Amino acid sequence: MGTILKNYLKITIRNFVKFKSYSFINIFGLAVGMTFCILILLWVQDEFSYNQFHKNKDNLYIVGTHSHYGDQIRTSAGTPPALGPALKTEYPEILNSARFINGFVDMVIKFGDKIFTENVRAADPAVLEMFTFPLINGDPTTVLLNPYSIIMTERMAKKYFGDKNPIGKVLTIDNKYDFTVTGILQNMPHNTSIHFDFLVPIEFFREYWELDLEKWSNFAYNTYVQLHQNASYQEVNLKIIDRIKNGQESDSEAFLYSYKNLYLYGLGNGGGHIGQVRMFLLIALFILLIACINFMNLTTARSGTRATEIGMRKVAGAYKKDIIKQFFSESIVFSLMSLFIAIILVNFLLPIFNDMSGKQVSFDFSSNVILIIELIGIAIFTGILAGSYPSLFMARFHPVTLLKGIPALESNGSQFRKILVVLQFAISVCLIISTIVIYNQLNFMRNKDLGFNKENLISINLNRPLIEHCEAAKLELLQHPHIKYVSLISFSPTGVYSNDDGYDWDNKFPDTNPIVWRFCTDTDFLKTFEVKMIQGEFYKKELMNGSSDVSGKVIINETFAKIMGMENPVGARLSFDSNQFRIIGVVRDFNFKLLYEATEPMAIYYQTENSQKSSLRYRYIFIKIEQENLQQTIEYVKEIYEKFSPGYPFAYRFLTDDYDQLYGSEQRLGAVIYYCTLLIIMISCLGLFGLTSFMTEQRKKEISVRKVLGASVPGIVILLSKEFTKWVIIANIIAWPLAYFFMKKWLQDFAYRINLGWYIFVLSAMLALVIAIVTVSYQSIKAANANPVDSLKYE
Amino acid sequence: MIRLNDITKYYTNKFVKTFVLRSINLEVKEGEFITIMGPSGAGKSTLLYILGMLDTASEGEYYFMDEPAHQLKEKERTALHHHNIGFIFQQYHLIDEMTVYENIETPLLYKKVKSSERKGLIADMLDRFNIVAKKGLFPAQLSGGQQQLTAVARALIIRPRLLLADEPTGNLNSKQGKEIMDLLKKLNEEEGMTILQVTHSEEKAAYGHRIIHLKDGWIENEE
Repeated sequence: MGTILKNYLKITIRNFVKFKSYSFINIFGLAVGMTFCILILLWVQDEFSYNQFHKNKDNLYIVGTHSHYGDQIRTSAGTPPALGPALKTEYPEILNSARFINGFVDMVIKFGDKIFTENVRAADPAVLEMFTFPLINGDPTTVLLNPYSIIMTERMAKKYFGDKNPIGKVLTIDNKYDFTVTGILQNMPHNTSIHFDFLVPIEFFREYWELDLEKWSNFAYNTYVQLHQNASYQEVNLKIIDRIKNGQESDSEAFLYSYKNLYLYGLGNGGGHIGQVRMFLLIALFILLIACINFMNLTTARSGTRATEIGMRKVAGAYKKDIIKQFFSESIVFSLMSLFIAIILVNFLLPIFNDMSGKQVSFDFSSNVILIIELIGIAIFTGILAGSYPSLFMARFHPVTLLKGIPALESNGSQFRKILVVLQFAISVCLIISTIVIYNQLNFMRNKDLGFNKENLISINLNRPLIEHCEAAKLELLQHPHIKYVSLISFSPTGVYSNDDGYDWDNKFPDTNPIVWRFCTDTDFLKTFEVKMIQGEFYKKELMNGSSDVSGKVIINETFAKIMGMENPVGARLSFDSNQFRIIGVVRDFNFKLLYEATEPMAIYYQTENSQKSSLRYRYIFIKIEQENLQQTIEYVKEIYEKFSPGYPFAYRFLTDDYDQLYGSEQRLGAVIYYCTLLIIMISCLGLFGLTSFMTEQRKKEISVRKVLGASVPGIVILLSKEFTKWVIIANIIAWPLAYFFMKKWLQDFAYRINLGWYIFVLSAMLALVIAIVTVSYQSIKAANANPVDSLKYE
Repeated sequence: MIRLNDITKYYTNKFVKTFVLRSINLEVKEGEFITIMGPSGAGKSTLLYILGMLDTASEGEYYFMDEPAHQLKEKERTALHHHNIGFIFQQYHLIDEMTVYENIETPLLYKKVKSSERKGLIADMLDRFNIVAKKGLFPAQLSGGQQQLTAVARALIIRPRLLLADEPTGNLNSKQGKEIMDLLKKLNEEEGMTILQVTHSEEKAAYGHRIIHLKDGWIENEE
């Protein structure tokens, strides 16, 4: 057995050397396919590893809420602050609970001469017991008990304290609060959904933002629970469903959702990354399939030249199974060679891939046995898949047929190859269509009318001294010729974190209880963001100053007006939490959230003494600038900033950059699909090129006879290209419905989406056709221009 | 050794039967040297292939050393031919990617002969045909005569009882052709090897004890 394998190997290698260009196309095509397959599998492996490092992962749950308004159900991870403690005390199955304030809070942190704006998260101390965020220093049960304690990651400790021991050091937050460092966390792994560099106790926010943490409204908190080992989460779910309703006049239902599945599956409502993961797995499979098809095609096409060898082997005593074994071992040797090249390529491409996908995936054999098994598995699978057709094909024939050579074999093999090429092109067309759709959708989102103008807007985080002098700062900023408008606002358009339900108005339908998103701004909001009024008027200086009843006014958006069911809601009464408001205006809908979601009801308040202390206080200053002399303008903004808040670090952001970041995952998806499509087209073309060279070789005699009989060169090129054109058209017919189905599904996640126009399909078809014809034409033209005598005289 | 009863071979193509061999009756005794002659398309090669069990007859009975080959399964038939029949062809059909040595070795590999035994057998064979110096060369580096010599060596390496030769000298010049024919004659006379050859040449045909003339699939006459 060993000797015969050695014999096969020897022949494989000699064949390899003899047909260098063929071998190159074959091995390289497979290697490139494998390379991308491996990259994608690494990516998928990483996606699956998210949040799996928590020791309690099987008992950790996030609390989600279903809110009803009208006939709509809204699912979110937002919960009121009172829910977490209530769950822990009232239900014995719930071992522990912890709340996070939704999103990051920007705080200015100072130690000595080091002063930076940092993203800080606030949570209940129990977080450190429930989740596996290990402390290097400090006891997880006590480090956050004092409201003025702070813990930070190792890298942040390094940033502030260098090599000194950070425990017990006092940091100043916002130039006002002194915090003691009580613990140092290990740096966060990259595959975590909850991540932070600084953590402070949520209790601190009672003072910091004057939050009422016993409230049953304001769904701006994430609540996590840890169940007892033996508790059934379905049973707990049944018990807690009405807990929020019992706390307040609300119809929001609470439910538990497994934390370890959160990243991939969202809250079970279609969010999450599983869609992308599946898409990429499908693409990886496609790539491998196409590379295998190439391999099979080229091997069978070339099998004519092997026919004598195989025939003779049969005469010399080879059984059918020997021939099958020979081809399998040959293709497995080829695929292992490809794997070897692929591993080199992966190492080379990984940094680029990480950059593109926004991951930090590593490719490390020594620590990853599974990876090695996976890779060898892929290679052998590929080898078997790729070798299966040629081996069975060749083994089937009578030795006599094989010895007679190619023509007898052709009719059979070519039919199969045609099917494979059609399949290959169908996949390519599918991907071309997907790429165009995804690109169009991304473009559409980038250029979508948000209802406000996000261009040329820069934002600055406010700090305490700046808030105190905000009106003066605004006036000074406006003195600059290139600064057009300045507006103060409580949230950036890319993230509104405050909402409430329980609004009431006259003639309200009883089952209508919308969750209303809200923010606070000043009189210059309309001009700065270029938002349009539909009815009534916006806050005006004169109006606000003259009237004593500042707090009683509210502006709502179009969507809210529609939910209220009023033609003209201006002047209508709106009450909330025993506060009475009168609607003074309706603004046209603008999209202050992501375009996945449709516009939601919104209430815009004017800042008052009261709201200054609440979560609706001003956090940002938005500055509308002109394009010219950008650097100078920003220099000026910096000057003013430093004048009003000396000692605070200056930082600014363009709103358009924030948006680009928000759509980063889609952008990345787009880029990956784009490159995969290019690659698949490339591999397909490589295969097509190899195949046509064999086919034209076989038709050499026919072409010569035709030329002798008077056929023109273009006539022959058309003759040879005609068949491929037919294949590409069939491939399109297969690809269109598939692509339509997948893209329709993908687009469903977007509230605002493009139509799947017919032109996309026609364009893809044309593209595939052009690519195929260009690939084929080189061979056809070469064959058509050859001297007919050359190929006839050897017959 | 061989008995053919009413062997018929036809191909069916779109419901039209094309006959290649019709009711062939033939008996071959151990140690005979038989020549099959006939014009192109007479069915000579097909007959040879059926005898060599590389092809199967459509109808009729084929007894090989009293075994009913027509009733055997493909695998059993293959085994029968592997151990008893050697083949040589007009085009030699050496495997291009193998050296002379490896070409001769191949049948032994499939027969699972042990390495040491293999070496001895091949060395004997190379020696006998005077091609020891050529053992490391590839077929493309050999003359036609040397290639056919190698092919004969490959056919004989399994010590067959029957050697089938399909126009073995068809591609060779007259000198090389004569060498091969003398070799076959020697094999037949000295070792008692049963040989069936197909040829167009009267001169080469004369090497046989019997000449069977085929025409349009029928046995026309026998000399």
